[in-house]
Amino acid sequence: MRTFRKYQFGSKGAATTKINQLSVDEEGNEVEHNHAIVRLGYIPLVQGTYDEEGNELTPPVLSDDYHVDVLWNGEPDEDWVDFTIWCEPLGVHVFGSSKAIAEWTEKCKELHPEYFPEPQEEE
Amino acid sequence: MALYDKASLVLIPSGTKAGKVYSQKPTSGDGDFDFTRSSYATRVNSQGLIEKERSNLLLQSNNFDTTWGYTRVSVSSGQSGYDGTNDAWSLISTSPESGAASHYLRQTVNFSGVHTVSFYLKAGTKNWSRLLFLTGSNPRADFDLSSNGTVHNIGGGAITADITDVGSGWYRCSITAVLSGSTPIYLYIAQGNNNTDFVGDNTAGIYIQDAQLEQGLVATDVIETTTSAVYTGITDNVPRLDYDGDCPSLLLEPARTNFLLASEYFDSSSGWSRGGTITQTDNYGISPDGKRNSTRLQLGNDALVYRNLATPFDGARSLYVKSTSGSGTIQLLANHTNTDNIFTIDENWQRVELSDVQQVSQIYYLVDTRGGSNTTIFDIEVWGAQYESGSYATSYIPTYGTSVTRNADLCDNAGDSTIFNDEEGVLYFEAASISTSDTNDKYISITDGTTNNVVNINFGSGNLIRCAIRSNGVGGDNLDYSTTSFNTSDFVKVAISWTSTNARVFINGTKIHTDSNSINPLILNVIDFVYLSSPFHGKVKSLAYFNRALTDTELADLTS
Repeated sequence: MRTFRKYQFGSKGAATTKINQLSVDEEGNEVEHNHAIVRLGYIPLVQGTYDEEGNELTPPVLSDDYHVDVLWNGEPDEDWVDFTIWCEPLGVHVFGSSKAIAEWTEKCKELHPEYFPEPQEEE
Repeated sequence: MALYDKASLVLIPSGTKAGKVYSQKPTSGDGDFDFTRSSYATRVNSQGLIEKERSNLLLQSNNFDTTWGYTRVSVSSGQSGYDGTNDAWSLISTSPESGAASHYLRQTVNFSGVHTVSFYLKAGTKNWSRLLFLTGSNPRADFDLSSNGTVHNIGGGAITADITDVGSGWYRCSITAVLSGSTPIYLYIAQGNNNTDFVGDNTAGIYIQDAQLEQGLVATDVIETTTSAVYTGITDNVPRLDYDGDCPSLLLEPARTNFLLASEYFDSSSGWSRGGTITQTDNYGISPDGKRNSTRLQLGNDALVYRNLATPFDGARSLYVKSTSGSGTIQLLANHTNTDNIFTIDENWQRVELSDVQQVSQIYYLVDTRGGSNTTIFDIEVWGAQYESGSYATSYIPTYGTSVTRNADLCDNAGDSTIFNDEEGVLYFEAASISTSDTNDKYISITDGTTNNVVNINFGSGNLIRCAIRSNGVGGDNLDYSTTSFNTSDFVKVAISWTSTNARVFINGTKIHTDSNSINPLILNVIDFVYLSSPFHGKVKSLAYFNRALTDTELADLTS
C-alpha cells in the first residue's frame, strides 16, 4: 500500500533535513528508503502572466514555504504529520498511482470538505 | 546442444505479472525477477499502440440496485443486453407525486480533471436520455436512442459527447468534461430533445447496462466494478514489455514528471493559450493509443498554441503529431524564433522531441506557425504533449488536470546460490541504453548481495560500456574494461566469460578484450538490474547466465 501526501516546510533546508533523515536509521546508520519524493519547491500561489514570446508581464507570486510531495511505501512517517498540507485536487502535482491518488482525494474530502463543495441538486 | 540449453538462467522478456518478470530458465521460479514501479505508466503494445492504465471509477458499474441514487425511477435486472447476456436493466419512471418531473439515476464521484462517463442505452417506451455532470455549468448532452441514434444539446461546458450504435437497438452514449471535486453523475430518462420532464407512470423508461467513468476524452472497453474502482492495463508495478517491431523488450526508465497539466486536451479550460487563426476539433482522428481522441488544429500562418510553466527549465519536450493530408514542415514545441524545432511531418504519427532548446523559456509551444516559410503545412493532428526535466524524452505520461510523476522502474532479485557457480561463468546481456545523453551509470549485476563479489556490465555516460569483475572485495576490480566503440542507443550484445585464471569480453560477435588477472572464486547469488543504487535504464531484450565459461566460438555465436 502506497500513500500519497503533500508537505510544506519553512525553507528548502528544512525540507532537505527532513528528507535526509529518511536515509538514516535510529542508530545513525545510512539506510535506503523506497519512498518516492518530488521536490516541488516554492510553488506559485498566483501564476505569472507572459506574452506570446514568453516575456513576463506580471511575475508569479511564489509561496514562502518549500513544498514536497511524497509517495510513502506504506503509511506516512509520523514525524512528517505536522508538515502535511491539503489542497484542491485539480491543477496540482500527483504521483501516477491511481489508488494512492484516490485515497489522498478521499482523505482530503474527509478533512477539508470545503475543497469539495456539494453541487445543488439538479431537478 | 544449443547455447540456450547450457544456460542456467535465461530472461527473454515475454511473461510478466504485477511485481514479477518471469525468466524462461530455471522453470522453478528461482530465476524470476521482482519488479516495482509505484505508479502507472505507458508502453507500446504488440499492435504498435500506446497502452495506458485504464479504469472504471464508478462503483457497482452494472449493479444498479445498490450504491446508485434514484429520483423517481426504479430499476429491474434480467433484461436482454447489448452483449447477448441478460445483464441489462430497465430504468423505469415511477408514478408521480405531482405532475411532470425529471427522472434519473445518479452516483457521486470525487475525481478531478478530464473524464468521460459512458452507459450502454436502449430505447424502451422512451426514446431519449440525458447524461449530465453536476459540476460547473453542468456539462450535459441529450441522446436520441431511436432509429440511427443521435446526440444533441452538447452544452454546459461539455468537451464532447458521442453515441455509437452497437447493434440490436443498443447505443454506447458518453459525455466528456473537466471534473472538479465532488461531482454527481446523472442519467435521465428524457421526454425529448432538451426536455427531461414528463409524468412518470411505472412503465415509461429505457434499458441500461455497463456504466463507466474514466480519465480521458473517450470511453474505452468496459471494466466491471463492484464495491471499488478497478484499474487495469499498465498500472502500479506492472512491468512493461515494449514493442518496437515483433519482439518485445523490457522497458526500464527513471522517474519523470510531465509538467503539462493536460496532455491530450488543449483547451483554455485546461490552461492552454492560443493566438492567431486556429480551428480546433477535439476527438478528430485515431491517435497513437488507437482511440479517436486526437485534436485537429487548422492553423493560419499567425497561429500558436502554448502553455506557460511556473518555473523555466531546460527540459525535454515531446509531442505526437501528424498531418491530416500530405507532408511538409512545421515549427513545434518551441518558439518560432528557434531554428531547431522545424519538423518534417506526414500522414503517419510520429513523436517529435526537443531538448536543449535554443531559447529557453517557461513556455511550451504546441505549435507556432509565425516563422514564415519554416511552416509549410497548416492542418495537423496532435496528441500526447509532454514536458519533462531531463535531457531526453521518456515514455508518454498522460495528464488530465494535474502534473504527474511516473516513478522509476526497478527489476531485481533473481536467482540464488544454487544457480551460480563460484568458479566460472558467463553473464550475457542484450540491451539498449535509454539515451546516450543520460550521464548516469546503468548497471546489470551479479553479486553476493554486497560489493565484495561482483560481475557487472555498466552502460554509462555517452556510449560507455564497462565490464567489471571483483572477487572477494580486495585489490579493486580484477577485470575492468571499458569501451565507447558501440552505439548503446541501439541494442548491443555483451558477454563476460570468466574462469579462475582469465576473463574475456565479447560485444556484438567480436572478442574485444582478454584479461589474464587472476579471477579468484566468486560467491554469487543474485542478479539485479541495479548496482550501487544505479539501476539499468533502457530496453532489455535478453539476459542469460551460464554456470561455466563458454568457448570463444560459443561466445561469438551468443553475441552475434
